[in-house]
Amino acid sequence: MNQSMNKRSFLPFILWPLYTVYLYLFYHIIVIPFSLDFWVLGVALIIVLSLIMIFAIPKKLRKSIIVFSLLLLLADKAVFNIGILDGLSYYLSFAVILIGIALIAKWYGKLSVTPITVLLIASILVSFIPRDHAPLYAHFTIKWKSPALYISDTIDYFPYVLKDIDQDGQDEIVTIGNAFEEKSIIEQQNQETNESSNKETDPSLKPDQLNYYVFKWNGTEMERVMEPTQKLLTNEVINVFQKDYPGFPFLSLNDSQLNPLIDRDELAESMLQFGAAPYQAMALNIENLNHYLTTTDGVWDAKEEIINYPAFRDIKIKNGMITGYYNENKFELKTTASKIVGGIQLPNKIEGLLLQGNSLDVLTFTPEPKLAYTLTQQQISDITTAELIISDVDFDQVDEILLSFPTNSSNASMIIKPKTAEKWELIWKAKDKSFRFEDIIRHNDQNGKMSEIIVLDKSHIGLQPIRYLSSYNYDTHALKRNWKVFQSVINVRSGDVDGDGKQELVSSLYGTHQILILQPHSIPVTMIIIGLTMLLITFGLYRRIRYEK
Amino acid sequence: MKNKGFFIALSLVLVFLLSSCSYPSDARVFNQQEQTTYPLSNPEEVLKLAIETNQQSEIAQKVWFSGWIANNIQKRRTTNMYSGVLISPHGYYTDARLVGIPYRYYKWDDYYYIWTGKTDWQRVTPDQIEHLSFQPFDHLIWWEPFFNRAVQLPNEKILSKDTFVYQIKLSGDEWINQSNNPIFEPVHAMLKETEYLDTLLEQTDVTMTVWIGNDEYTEEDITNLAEKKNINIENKEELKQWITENRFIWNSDKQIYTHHLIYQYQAKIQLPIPGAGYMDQEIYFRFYKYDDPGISIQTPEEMEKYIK
Repeated sequence: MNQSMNKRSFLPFILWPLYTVYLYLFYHIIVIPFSLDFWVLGVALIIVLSLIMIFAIPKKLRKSIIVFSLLLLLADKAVFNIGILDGLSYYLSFAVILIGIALIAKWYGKLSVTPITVLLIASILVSFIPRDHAPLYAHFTIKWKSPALYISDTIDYFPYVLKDIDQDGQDEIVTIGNAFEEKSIIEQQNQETNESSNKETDPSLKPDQLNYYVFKWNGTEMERVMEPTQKLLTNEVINVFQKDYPGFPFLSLNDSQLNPLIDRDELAESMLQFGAAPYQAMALNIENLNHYLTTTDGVWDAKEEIINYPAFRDIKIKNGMITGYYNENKFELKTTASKIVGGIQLPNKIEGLLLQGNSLDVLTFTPEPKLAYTLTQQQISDITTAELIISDVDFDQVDEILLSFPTNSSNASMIIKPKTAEKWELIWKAKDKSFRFEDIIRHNDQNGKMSEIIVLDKSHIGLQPIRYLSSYNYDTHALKRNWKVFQSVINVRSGDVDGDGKQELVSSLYGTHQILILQPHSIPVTMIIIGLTMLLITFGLYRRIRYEK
Repeated sequence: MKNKGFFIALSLVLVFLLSSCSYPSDARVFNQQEQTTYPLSNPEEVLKLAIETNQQSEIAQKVWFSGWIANNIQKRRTTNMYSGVLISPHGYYTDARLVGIPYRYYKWDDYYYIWTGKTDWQRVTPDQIEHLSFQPFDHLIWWEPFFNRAVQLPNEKILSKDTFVYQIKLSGDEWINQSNNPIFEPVHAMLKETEYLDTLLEQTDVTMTVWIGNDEYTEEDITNLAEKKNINIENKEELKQWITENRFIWNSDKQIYTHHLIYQYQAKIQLPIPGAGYMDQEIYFRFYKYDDPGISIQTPEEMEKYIK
């Protein structure tokens, strides 16, 4: 390879850049995920693999390639690390990195001009790639990344609605935040503080004014819909934010304003009267819920219609009763539930209504309305705070329920299935408490898999409870992994934001209040890199053993 | 080519690990948990003794505490946390956090200060706060109407201290209707005005648990302790009075004194949340290192230096 490189002088101009692209992808798509997923074992395998690769490199080229590789990875990391700087200090640091790399490459690595030039160009190019999202490229391209939509430390995340509200074939994203308004306020304040450097003296909590933001695909990016009409901000949409209860019970969300119900000093005073603390908490709960129930006229939950179940209409929970219509027959039953989850397909083609309260209940309506299935807190702890997804994951025309529990719960995610005789079967349970079901992607093509389960799943052996985006399918008491990308996100929903008939994944980045839209691609990047690695090793080994004995 | 076999094995492992990952299920059974409880012959007596010990005992006047209100509504978790030191009957210093934002709070007699990131330390004048009279353990007696319903759970160790565990379970409406205290006054007023909250309170469950220590002292320990607290141990009457006042209880079977401080206190409220399941709310405090000589709080004069 070395000799042919020297003979045909244009080859290095192609081979070094190609090797750069290969190494970058190999590092981010194989090395990092592998080490994260299999921890020490993964690291050990990578070391063994690297030794084999080093062995396979022709002796003459070995030092140059090792130095080149290490410098490239170092530059990639260094350029990422200085990303927190701005202005002059950023460019100065960048210059130091480039000079450093060139010097090491020249004096230690004895590299020729071509690889050094390639290294320097690559160092500049990687600064344009969002390195922290690099593992995503194995399965996705980033379609859109929003700016931070909320500026404050009060609430750690807000939910968003992903739905085709105006029914034009594209899903809108509706969320809540303050960034667009807050920026102008902060700029204004900065001007004022420049004039007089007064620090605030009033420690009392003030209402946090939030705004609904609607985003819509305009062909190239998600564009904010200014002054969204009521057609987009329906009551149903606004309800999603109300029922998320941010800051409960200390804050109350009214007309997109987060109002403190108690000040910090008063709260500390009563909480540190230890005996009085539960009484203070309960008083806040009641005050907060009284606000809420006054606005809903005492209704706990209501749904005019149930998606995919046209037989239901006008379902409502109020004063411990659930009322509504099934096939135009009015029903009324006592309930302790507080939430109408949705319709559920039961065995023998019976339709049910799933309710969540201090137990998980399914009502059936033929021949008579009754409570058919129930699961108590004794059977499933933390059922009261579980998040539920209804979906037929084993494709047998009977729905399953996918349960995920809060992070601090003692319970692990599970899939349960209604059986005949009003019994439940637990068909799958996670071994790890951090495993969370997020959404189901429904594919329009009817061949093979009709849907996949999107989950957040920590690495196999790693000790950190960081959850990565993954996809599975259910297969007889086991889940089969389709893919996993080592990007930690929250609130993943699938939807079609650009109206192309294919599902994108929308998620948000925890702690940054940014929304990320991922577009799946069908290039088997991981397999290509593995194949290429195998090919290079085989070729290298063959060459070494044949010619360098 | 002796590397060939190894190389093929490695590539097979690599391809296997990366492609077909199956996640088999954990044991597929619904849990069945039953709590062991013992009915208590004299719950009122034991609970009152513990409260009195914390109110009156000299060694209960200084203590470290940490605690929180944690609210779980589906995956949303909202917290208000405290950790600090208490010196009765004067006050306390606490690091705190409300909905993600840190603050600090200081009280010494009639001096109150609050620190926030935006304001640094600021004075809070007593008329700005609706403070209760400062007796940190007194309000535990608000649970008294329900003491006769307490059950005892198996003993637990809290930070290596043996404790008796007592628990009271109530419904929300019982709790509110049978409690009479200034904090519930506005709640009672609200309940008179609206019917919307009735079902909600009927369906609310409240569980209060308290972990009471059973610290043992030999006669020698007690005399040493009394001497440290400047009691004239030669005067038997004075010593006896000090022992009674500090609620050391003589156990004639074991020939030792026992002392019953509260080491942990928790209330769990499970309350229906319209449209969002039920909330799991935990109000929790742990008390540790009672009478630790390291506990000290700055004086109000020192605090004044922080005010700009």
